[in-house]
Amino acid sequence: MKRREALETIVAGMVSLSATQRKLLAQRDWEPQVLSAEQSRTVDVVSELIIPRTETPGARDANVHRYIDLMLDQGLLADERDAFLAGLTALDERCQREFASGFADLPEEEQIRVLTAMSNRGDAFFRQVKDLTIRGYYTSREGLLAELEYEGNSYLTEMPGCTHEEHRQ
Amino acid sequence: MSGPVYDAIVVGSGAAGGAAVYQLTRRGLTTLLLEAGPDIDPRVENIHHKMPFELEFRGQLSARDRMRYRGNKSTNVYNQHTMLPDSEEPYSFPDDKPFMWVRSRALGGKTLHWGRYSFRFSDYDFACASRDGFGINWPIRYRHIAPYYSLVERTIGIAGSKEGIPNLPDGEFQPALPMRCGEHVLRKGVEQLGMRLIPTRVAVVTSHDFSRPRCHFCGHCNRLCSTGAMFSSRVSFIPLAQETGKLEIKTDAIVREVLIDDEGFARGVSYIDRASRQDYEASAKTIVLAASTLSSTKILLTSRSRDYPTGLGNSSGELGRNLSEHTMAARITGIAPVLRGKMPGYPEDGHPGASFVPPFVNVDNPEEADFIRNYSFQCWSGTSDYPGHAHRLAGFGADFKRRVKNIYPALVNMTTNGEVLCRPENFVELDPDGRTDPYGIPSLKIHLAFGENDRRMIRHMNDKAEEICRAAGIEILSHRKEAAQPGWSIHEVCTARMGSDPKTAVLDGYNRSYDVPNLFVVDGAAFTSATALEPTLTIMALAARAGDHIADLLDRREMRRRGPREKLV
Repeated sequence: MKRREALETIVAGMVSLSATQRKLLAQRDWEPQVLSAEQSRTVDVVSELIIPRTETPGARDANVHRYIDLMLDQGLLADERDAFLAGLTALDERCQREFASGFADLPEEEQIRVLTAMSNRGDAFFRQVKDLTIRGYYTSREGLLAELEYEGNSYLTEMPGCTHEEHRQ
Repeated sequence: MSGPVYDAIVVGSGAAGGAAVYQLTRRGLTTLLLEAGPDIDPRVENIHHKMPFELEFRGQLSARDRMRYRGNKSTNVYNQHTMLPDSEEPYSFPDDKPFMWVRSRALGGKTLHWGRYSFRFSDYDFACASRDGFGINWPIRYRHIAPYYSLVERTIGIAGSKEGIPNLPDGEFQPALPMRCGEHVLRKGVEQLGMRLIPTRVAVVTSHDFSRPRCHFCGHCNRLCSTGAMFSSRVSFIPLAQETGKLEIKTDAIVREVLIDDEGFARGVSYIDRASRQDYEASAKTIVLAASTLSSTKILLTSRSRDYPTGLGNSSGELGRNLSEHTMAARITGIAPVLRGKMPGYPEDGHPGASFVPPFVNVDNPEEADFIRNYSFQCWSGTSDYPGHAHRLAGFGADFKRRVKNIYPALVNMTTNGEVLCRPENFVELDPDGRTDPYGIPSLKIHLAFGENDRRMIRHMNDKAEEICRAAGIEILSHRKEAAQPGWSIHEVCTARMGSDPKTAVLDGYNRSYDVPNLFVVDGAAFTSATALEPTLTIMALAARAGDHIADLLDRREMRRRGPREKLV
């Protein structure tokens, strides 16, 4: 029996678990397939900086780092995956050189300064991680339903169209 | 071989094949429909209503599938089971002329997930060469096709508004759908510049009283329509033809070539059963090719014989030539400031249509611009499930997130359909290096590059689109000025064109081969020019009209009569 199946069996037997407890258990079960544990933490921190929790959920709430690991595993072409991993390594190496610390362990102001510089100079890795974060976040339940308040994929009896006089004049 | 001799064999079951079998069987002809793919009922076999987070890769293809469908780029997780992986039918192009050939193999063809835009052509289109001196005229005029436009519209259901625009004839419409907020903002700019923005005419049921269910506005029709409100041949023409008892359907039947008898008439087709990989033949009095423009052309090019060394019915030398489609440039995403932060209160992506600027340049005066022919704009607006604009916004963080949301309901989008001139140097041929598909059928090599006229028109589109946005007060967020990759319009046409003169055309004014009197080509290959309008409604009207003509010829025992063809114009 695989670890996941074993855990599911255990969970199924634990009738008193709350939804939150079950979710926590499921999260603990997740392991990155491509990223190292440290890289996964960095990706999680970067994605949360790109789309942070505000009055609505952020990238971390939507587990965007898991989405990115899945994309690296099966969604991206080999050259796209290699570029991402090289960019991620370069980011950490740069931070080690400049601050003697990995990106994930920098103070938040420093992290934002680093990302701002990358964003401003059109850094290719920043572009890639931002695109993946956008895709992962806005296709998640948290991004699509809670943040964007998407109500589609439902049925209407009529198509209202524009009903605002000020848009039509 | 022995077996039934049908009145007609129709190859291909999309828009063209559907309309053909509908009319042939209504006229009482026994008809065999051959479809290269499986039967997929879009009302049952769909994942239309899965949210992205319910799908393994959030609604995207895996890397493996992206590679499998690399040449067939409109493949997505929703339509994948109807689409053709590259390995099933490889094709090639010169290194400097990449071409995207989008193909479906399934009963209903590309109508299972098509764009639904349905416009009548007019005599501005049919008499194009008389107006500007380029190319050849169509062998028909509006009066010849108008009754068949009506027949198709009444049968499949087109929502639209009567507008009285001379170069965009009104049809027999179901109730039009209202435009969305952003489209109204855009309309003000379009009208200031003296043009029109009208609701797109779409093949979707909007009437409460129709043979198929009314649209319930769940949107994303291209994910396969789960109610059948959107027209596809699979839910409309084909079941109607089956009701006559005259239609037989063979799926997974890949046609290799048209077979010719000793007198030079078509006697049937050879096809490969996809499951068993066995070769079969089927016989008929009439052969109707409706396999899509390039597939029908490929079948004719493959059907070589001593009498037709360069392809069946190619005494004109025009078979495979004049490949045309539409340029899609002025790809603009803009922001209507008045709509920022104003959620519309209903899902705007439930709309099965959009809005449309009919061709306006070179209409009254065919030589008013520094190019000939014209183009139309497609426009749409509002919220959709995926906020693609987020990728275009600078920065990151809480402010970035707020801007994504603020702009989400204010988006306005445009693109074009511009007529690519039919030039002989744009052509298809059987692969000169002898490549084939897994069934041994020759592959196609496709040569298409836009020319100087096309480039001038593209400049005009980009300038005009920016002018419209300025007039409407729309801020341009992104503007891709270069035309999309050749093939992307999925409107390839003209490679077995109709014309009044057998020396310059493959088909006569009834889609009938000049060389082989009982052979018809009824898909986009038959077009004489691309026009600036979506081709599908005209394909269907021509196919239904050809069906009528076939029945008339068989009734009068004139199918195998050779001799000059009736001049319609």
